[in-house]
Amino acid sequence: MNLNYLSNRINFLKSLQAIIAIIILWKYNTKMLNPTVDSISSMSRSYFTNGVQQNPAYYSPNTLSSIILIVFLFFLFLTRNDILPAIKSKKYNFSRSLAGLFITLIILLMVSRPEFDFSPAKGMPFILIGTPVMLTLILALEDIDLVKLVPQKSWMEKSSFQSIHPWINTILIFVIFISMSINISFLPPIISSDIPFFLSIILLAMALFVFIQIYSESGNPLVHDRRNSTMILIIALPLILYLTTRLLFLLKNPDSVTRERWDLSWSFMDMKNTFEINAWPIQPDFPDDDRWKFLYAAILNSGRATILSIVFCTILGVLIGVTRLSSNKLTSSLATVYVEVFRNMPLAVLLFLIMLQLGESLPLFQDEANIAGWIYYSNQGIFIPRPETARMLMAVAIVLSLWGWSRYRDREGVDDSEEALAKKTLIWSLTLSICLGIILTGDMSLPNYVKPNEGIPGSWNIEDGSAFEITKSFLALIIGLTLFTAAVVAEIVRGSIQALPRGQIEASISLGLSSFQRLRLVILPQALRSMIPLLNSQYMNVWKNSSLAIIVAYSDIFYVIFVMMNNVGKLIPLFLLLLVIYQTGSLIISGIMNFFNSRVTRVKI
Amino acid sequence: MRSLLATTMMLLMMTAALAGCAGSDVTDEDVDTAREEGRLAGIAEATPVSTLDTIHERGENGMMKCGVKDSQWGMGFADADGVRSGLDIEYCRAVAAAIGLDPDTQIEYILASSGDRFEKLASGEIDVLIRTTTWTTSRDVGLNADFAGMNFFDGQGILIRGDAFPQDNMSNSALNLAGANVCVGTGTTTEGNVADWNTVNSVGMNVIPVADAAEATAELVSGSCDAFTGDMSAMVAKKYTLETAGDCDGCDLWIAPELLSKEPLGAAVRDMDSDWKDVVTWVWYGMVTAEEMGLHSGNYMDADMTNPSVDRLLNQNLGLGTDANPLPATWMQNVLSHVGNYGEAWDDSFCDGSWDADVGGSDTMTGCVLSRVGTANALVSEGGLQFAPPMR
Amino acid sequence: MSGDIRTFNSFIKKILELERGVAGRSRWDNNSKMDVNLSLLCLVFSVLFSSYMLITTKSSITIGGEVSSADALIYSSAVAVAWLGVSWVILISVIKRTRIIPKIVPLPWFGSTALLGIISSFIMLFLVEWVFDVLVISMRWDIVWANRVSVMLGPNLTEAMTQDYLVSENWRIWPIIFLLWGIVGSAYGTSGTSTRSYLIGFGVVSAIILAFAGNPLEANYNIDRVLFRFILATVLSLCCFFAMRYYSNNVEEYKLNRAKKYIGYAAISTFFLTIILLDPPEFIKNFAAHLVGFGIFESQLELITRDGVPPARWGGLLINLIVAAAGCVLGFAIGVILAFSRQSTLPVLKWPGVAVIEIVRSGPLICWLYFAMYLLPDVADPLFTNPEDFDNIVRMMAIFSLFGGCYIAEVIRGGLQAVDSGQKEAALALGLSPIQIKLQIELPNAVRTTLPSIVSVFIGLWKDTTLLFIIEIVDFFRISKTMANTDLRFLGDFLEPVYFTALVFWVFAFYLSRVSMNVEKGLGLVKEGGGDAA
Repeated sequence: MNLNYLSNRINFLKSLQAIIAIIILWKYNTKMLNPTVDSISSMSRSYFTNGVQQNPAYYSPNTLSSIILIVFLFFLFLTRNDILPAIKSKKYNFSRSLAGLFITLIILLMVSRPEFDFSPAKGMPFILIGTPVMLTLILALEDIDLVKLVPQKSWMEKSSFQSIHPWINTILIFVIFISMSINISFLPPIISSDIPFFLSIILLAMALFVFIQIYSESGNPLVHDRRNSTMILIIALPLILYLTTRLLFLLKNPDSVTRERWDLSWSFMDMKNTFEINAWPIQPDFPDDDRWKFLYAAILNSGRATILSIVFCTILGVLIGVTRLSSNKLTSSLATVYVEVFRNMPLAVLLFLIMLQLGESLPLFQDEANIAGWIYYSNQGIFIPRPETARMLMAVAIVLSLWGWSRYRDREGVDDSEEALAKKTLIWSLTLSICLGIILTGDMSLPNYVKPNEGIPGSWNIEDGSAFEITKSFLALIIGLTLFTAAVVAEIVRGSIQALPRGQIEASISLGLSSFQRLRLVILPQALRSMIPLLNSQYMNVWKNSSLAIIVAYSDIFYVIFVMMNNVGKLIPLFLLLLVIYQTGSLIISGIMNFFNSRVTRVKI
Repeated sequence: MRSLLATTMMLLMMTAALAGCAGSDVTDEDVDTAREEGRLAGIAEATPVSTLDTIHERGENGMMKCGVKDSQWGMGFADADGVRSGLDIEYCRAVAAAIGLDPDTQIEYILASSGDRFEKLASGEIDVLIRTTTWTTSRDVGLNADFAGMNFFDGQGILIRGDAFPQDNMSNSALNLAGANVCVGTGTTTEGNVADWNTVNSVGMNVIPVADAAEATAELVSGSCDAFTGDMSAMVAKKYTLETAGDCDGCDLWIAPELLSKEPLGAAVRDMDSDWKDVVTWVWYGMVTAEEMGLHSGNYMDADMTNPSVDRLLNQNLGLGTDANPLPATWMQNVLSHVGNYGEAWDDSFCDGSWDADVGGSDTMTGCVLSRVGTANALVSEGGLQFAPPMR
Repeated sequence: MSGDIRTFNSFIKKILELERGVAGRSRWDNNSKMDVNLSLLCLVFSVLFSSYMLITTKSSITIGGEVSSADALIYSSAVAVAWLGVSWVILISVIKRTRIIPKIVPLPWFGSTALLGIISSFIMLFLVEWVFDVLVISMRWDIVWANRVSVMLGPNLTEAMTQDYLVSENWRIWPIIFLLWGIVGSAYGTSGTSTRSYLIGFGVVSAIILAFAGNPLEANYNIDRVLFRFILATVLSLCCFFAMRYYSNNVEEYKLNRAKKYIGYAAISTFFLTIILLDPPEFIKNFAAHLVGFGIFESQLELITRDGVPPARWGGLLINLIVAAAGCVLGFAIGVILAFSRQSTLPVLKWPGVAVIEIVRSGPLICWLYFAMYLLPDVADPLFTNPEDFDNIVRMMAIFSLFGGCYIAEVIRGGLQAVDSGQKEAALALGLSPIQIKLQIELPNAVRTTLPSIVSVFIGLWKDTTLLFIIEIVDFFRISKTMANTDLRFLGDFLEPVYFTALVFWVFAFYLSRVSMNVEKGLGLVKEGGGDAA
């Protein structure tokens, strides 16, 4: 008695779920197919006056049907799960798929012929939406054991009816469909006046049919997979059709503003830009240069902000991460406070705060605040001396050659003893100080604070070209990104150090290594291996977070594209540019970090 | 393979057979109906629904979406309690009152920044843009916007910090702003204007773009910017509010007398929306006409209806509105009772709100931060440019 | 007497431990009496020095005359305490740690640990000075007090509250607050937190909230009524806590787990309830109208039949919370679906899943917000019978869910790969269907393993709601940015609201990360490593 009640309750719940699922599926189908029908009808209407096409959304039937059917065929191809290995093993039964392909070609031919005159309101939507439905039905029947459903009759076994019967339903369905679509105005109003209704019913019936087949769980796992894929295709079909037709309609929308938005051409980028930006290695001329140059300058801007932030945040992050594990309680708790504060702070608020605080705290320009006449700082920018290019190149060349020579010397193994370390430190510090000397003794152009008019403090400025300016927005962006990302990097460093096996640390202590040696020889090399994948994602975050430069009014990629979007209504082309640029940057960073990863994990521990 | 060939042959033959049966059943009548259907559909797509009808169909009794600013005192401002004030807000309320909505509860104010205001208008998010927007050719032509007349005659001015550029040493002129850092909002006409003026007069300013006016004020107060440029009304309001709040001691703000450009401000609606544009245009002219005739919120009830022009103004809708939603015949009375005439709107926005229209003209307005007297914004009878075409 | 000596000894021991923690081993480790005497000496000197600094700081601040004496006292005592620390550390290091290390440096040197200690104490002094300067001296916090309601609810709801021509809609918020307080109390009641720590934590938080809401300075609302309601909510929360604590102590575990599940469902439904209460859909309004006709609960139900507050009128912290909640709740569902899609063997699920995840993750969130604002309506408008229903907030919720879903999908995918295949095979052998295996075997395992990462994605989504101001949605950050420009009484106080915003966002994120740590410990996922000895 109890069990009966339980199974009754389960049955009731299951049937309730089934009813709800059917209702939801029905509503979803009609909701998606109604706008599809509308889009297709507006795209196939054509009326000419004086030889000019009056419907801006007109697509020739060939184009329209080929695009829709090719998209559908692609998804159909995806549902044939095992098609690639089966092709290789030459065991695949191609016939159904080829039949599908043939049917599509025939439909395409039919659509373009004027004899068949499919009307925009009824015929075109019916055939263009009906073909995917029909093809799905044909391919869904592949796995349906129709033979078992039909009672066995003796005459059926004897004739060769069996060998061609798989094709009978295909041909039957195709013929019925074609005749319906050609003579659609003669069909009863329940079909011809409300096409989405009719097609939704068919889709629903197919879904139920396939669901029953899945539920019966007959056949091997390959058949299961095919049935599952077919079910997913049936459910996704209205969405795919809706999106395709909607996107096609948007590309040629009658409303000119929407059409502008979705117009996929980048010719406007060759025109002159309408606003000015502030960029460093390349400063585009307003109003002479075209938009591509402005975009290129903005990419360089973003790039240099990102690279500097990555370098600084790594240094700061490693420092704080290691400090957090120090034995000095005061220091480690300060590091913990830093990490907790900056990890939970939103970056946008932090950037804005830093921008405002810099504006308040830095002195006014007319206060002539400087450090020994070399560095002038104010809330209109920081001016540092600009070294001579030739000397800079010489210094870089010396450093590079030293590095190459040390790599050559260490080709057979790095000498880790204390004396070697002291010697290396000495050589490197000597070289660096020589380079610094070369740069400084050269023709450094110091900031030249000129006062053209004593009575007007606002006109005092640093002479053009005499100093290298670091703008307040660049400074705010670098500080914000560094502080924020350093907290996360510190956590990563700490986590990977703490994940080291305890035995290593104890062994190094018992060997008598000092704490600095421990860090250098035992801890960091091993911690680096586990850190790099995590650092990779953090560096990609820095690259993507540099898009927040709009908050500090720094001309980065997003800022430039944002203002261009508002000046020219071409949203989609600019949006695609944005995505492509950010994805490329992420891939570059990922590639570099993977290179490091492969180098560091060359030796297996 | 053989079955495949057989199938293909059968399919082709079937198709050919059906094709033969097909074309003959389509009659002339069917073709005509299809063509007419297509033509009507095309026309329907070309003529959009009037915004006025959309407004009345929203919500229960209608809701108007007005694109405004919230940070410029005098034109579009929202204070700490959320109460809005300003000439643009008054205009918005007048339009709502004219079409029969309650200005207090049936207006939705949507903030439109200088960066995205035209985007919002074009995409249909706002019905009308009354946000200190300058009427220019490129905006009229290229941005799916139509301007409903000019309701405020402004120019572009520069607000300067006196401690960096003292007024006396500059001989009271902005032409000596060499080396100044001038803040300007991105995406505005002021950006282009100041760059042009800079080049033409070889002034030598550094133009620094900022995201919006709030940030620009912060930069001005802290000293990162030596000057700020924008519409003159905004400059006056900014100077007034900063000096009243007393937060920029030592700033010594002054406004240069030069007007860098003409900035006629107007309301903007979408292209091809003529019924709605007519309503928006004529509400403003109605307010100006009311002041020209001496009608205001206090005396319109007792106005002399035997005077034909008064009767036309107060008791007829003059064909404004759509077929589905014509304006009520007493639309101007609604405007006067909720908002008042042009002078009262000005008084509530820029002065202390105590003006009594019966007493006198613009010169009797008290407590004015920005006065109409002698400027282009006065009525033609007082020497300005505010002139309404005849309402008949 | 002996009790005093014992407490004194323990006090000395604590001081010595502290010294060792800060400055390292002392030179006089062997001679304990000398050690103790020196410690006491250092302590006394430091106290004297800090009192001197207290007096000098206080007098130097009050010279200006702008700062009230109470504020000056607070500032100087904080600075004095910091100076106490600095001087104590320096004295300890110099006196106790200096020794001559002839091999390397022929001068007395107090060791690197002590050097670190001195540097950190100076940093701490600088930080304390700066923080208290910001808190008490140079900033005028009046602007924050004056705009409390505006910042929480947005300008439209504030206008409805303060102006007479609009009906106040704030009554819609209070049931949600009561519900949330109740759920928080019950959740803590069923969890493992000790009563004492919960009471301390909850007490502090309630005190802060009551102080914040109850400060009569520049208030534009009825303080007494609001205070009364908050006190009611606190009492409700405490009752729920004690009730659930009693229940969990006296009942079997399976019942407790079921109760926890119900509390989880209640928490998720709060999100939906908030949206329904703020803007009731048509059928609920009609249903309530019918009920009013029957005469049941007339006054309350009549309130529901009124026009709701459409999402375009929401503002302030409300928007941030709702959008973040939508991102978390809906994003979790989307993330699970995407994770299973990406992991499945069916190409028709896998390739679209991969495409969606990779495309969404390639762009920064700002870019997607802009897309959702201007381009998504073009694509999705025909799906809505009334295109105006798809307004700003709904678009933001949709895009936050998608964005959060993609990140959660990546996290869950890692967890799914770590599920022991033996479990899946056993489930298969038992005859569970594929969907049952996924939902009942793989998913719980994966979520349990990756719960900390999921919570960190939630925290990231919460912090990312600050980006809404770029598309002109009037959220908390935007109001506080422009407050200083529009509030005529306090024009020019730009920094204070932004500090306040940073504090509020930080508090929520910090609380979530603490919860995540506790959950991690509760699930037994914390690993002990060797790093402490490093």
